[in-house]
Amino acid sequence: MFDILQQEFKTNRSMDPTWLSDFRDHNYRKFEELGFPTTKSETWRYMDLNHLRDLCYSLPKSEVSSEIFTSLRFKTHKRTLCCSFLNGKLKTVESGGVDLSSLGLDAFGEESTWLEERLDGGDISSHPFRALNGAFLDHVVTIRSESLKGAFDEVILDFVWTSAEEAMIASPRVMIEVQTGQELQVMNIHRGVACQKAMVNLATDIWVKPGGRLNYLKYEENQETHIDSTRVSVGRDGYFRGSYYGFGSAVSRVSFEADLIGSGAECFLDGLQITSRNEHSDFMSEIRHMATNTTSHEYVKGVLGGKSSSAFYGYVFVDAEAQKTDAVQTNRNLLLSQGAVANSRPQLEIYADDVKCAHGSTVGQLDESQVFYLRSRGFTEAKARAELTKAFVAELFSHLSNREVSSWLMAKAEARIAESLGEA
Amino acid sequence: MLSINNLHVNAGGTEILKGLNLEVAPGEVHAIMGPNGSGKSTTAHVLSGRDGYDVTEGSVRYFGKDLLDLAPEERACEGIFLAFQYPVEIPGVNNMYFLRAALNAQLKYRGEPELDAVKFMKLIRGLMGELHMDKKYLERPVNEGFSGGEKKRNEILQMSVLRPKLAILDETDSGLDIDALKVVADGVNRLRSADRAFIVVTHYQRLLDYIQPDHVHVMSGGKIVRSGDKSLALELEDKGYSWIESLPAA
Repeated sequence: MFDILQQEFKTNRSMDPTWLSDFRDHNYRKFEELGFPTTKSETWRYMDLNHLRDLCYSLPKSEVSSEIFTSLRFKTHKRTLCCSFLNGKLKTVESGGVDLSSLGLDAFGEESTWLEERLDGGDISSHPFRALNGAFLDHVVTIRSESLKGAFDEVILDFVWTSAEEAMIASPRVMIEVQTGQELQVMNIHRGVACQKAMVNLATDIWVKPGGRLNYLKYEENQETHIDSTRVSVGRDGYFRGSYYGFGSAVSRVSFEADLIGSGAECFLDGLQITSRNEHSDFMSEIRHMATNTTSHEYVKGVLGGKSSSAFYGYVFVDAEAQKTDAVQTNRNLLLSQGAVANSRPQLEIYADDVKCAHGSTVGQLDESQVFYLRSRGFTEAKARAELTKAFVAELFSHLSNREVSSWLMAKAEARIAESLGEA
Repeated sequence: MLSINNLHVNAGGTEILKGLNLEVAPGEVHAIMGPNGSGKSTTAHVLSGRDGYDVTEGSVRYFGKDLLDLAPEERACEGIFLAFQYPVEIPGVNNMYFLRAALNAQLKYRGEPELDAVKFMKLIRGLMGELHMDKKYLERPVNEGFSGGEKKRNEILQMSVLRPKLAILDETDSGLDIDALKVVADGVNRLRSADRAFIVVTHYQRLLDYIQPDHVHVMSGGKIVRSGDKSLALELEDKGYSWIESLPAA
């Protein structure tokens, strides 16, 4: 279904280096072999991708009316680098006056060797969407703590996607490397504006080197299909904190894989998905403890209204070498309507004998005694339900240090909750 | 202000109230006593609009309105307040936010100006002082991790903020030690006024040493079987509930 598109793409990119063309070809062949996943596959059981088949896809058009484009404005300090993209193309950069040309942000320029090595290292044997991303790899954003040269400690990527008429496939790739002893915050935001026809197929690769620290935030809203495949590798005494917010694409899938490869590596993962209407949202995580004294704490919540559905697949693997592992995995779901369905499948596989591992999962509704308590004080029923739902999600914003970002997200969450409750 | 007439109520297929009659006028304090299962708490719940009760017969008029037609929040905004026997914990909702939102919802309903944060803080600080409550309770989620006594004080704090016309206290004395009981009773007594009425539901006479009722009613088998002044409570304390069960219906 992508043959014509691939030919067109290859023609347009004939000037690209050979290794990159080869990489794309290899990925394209892999995707052809694998095809789109079906519900027969265990980790795609609840996700119907039939709407993606047999479409005539086009690539993102960067020449679209910029009227739709309003970049996010957070009050940031001067050590924040804020980049806005429209259909993948860089539109604006706010860099506090720092000269960007020396920072190596152009992925296919000076970064070529670095990129070639990193891209080739990724396994795609059972990852059709990763392969598809590689096949149409175009815009790559690389963020390397080393290249930022101490000028920035926070990077905000604000992607706006739009395609109301044609079946667009976008294949953004974000690559983040935090070097030994360095610390970085990255926000990866994907907003759909008039985006009824778009499939955004994001792939993110993250390396936290020994002793490095990364706070990573991913946000997604309002696309037809949003696929996110994130891979993280955390080295010795490295720290990764990921926060995922999925606030309403018709179909969305987050797949998060983390390898804790060095002793003392830590991975904290939060997720919040709020769905309504007929939306479906998948959250799949695979965390592999490969070394001693590694920690992973995962906390994912879902709020579902209308006839929406979700699935949580959480897999924690503890290698025989990974003694003293501390792994906790929790998934909690709140159903706001009779028609909503949440599926949850936490899973542990442990080969070490001296570990602390726990997992839990709940699916429930609002507590009617709490609703009545609030109403008995004068809250309308709608307000009582909204307050209790907000209270359910509030803890997933409490760790964010940038208050403006957390307020922005909370306002988004409130709007989504109101929508979900309206359909209850 | 409140007129309950031949009220019959079912819960879970069982008839709990079997012809309750009660008249409450502004300024009065009514105590409802009775053994477990006599329908005291059901009366409190039905008046506040809790789900799960089916009124099969009778009426409740409140300032001339059909109270049973009103949603719980409308009853609250019309000035009815229920102090819960078991106040509910609400994790994630800040107590101060909750109190202010509740007050402002009621002010808005009545067409009165809402209170801003500064004015509200001033109001709440004074009231908390009177109830010997530490201001840390404002920062915590509603009732979460509060001891039994703290929860009951928080109920009285809410009542003091909302200043209802009719306050219903559902076994507010249960689980309180004598010091907490006095604080709660003082809170109630401060609010006593010519235009405000109380219905105090209690199992024991003890609370009535501190909150002096104008009328005492004894419930048994889903209706009031005897009414009198505060001496009835003492008589009941003396003779026990078995005495009531031996009486003919009032």
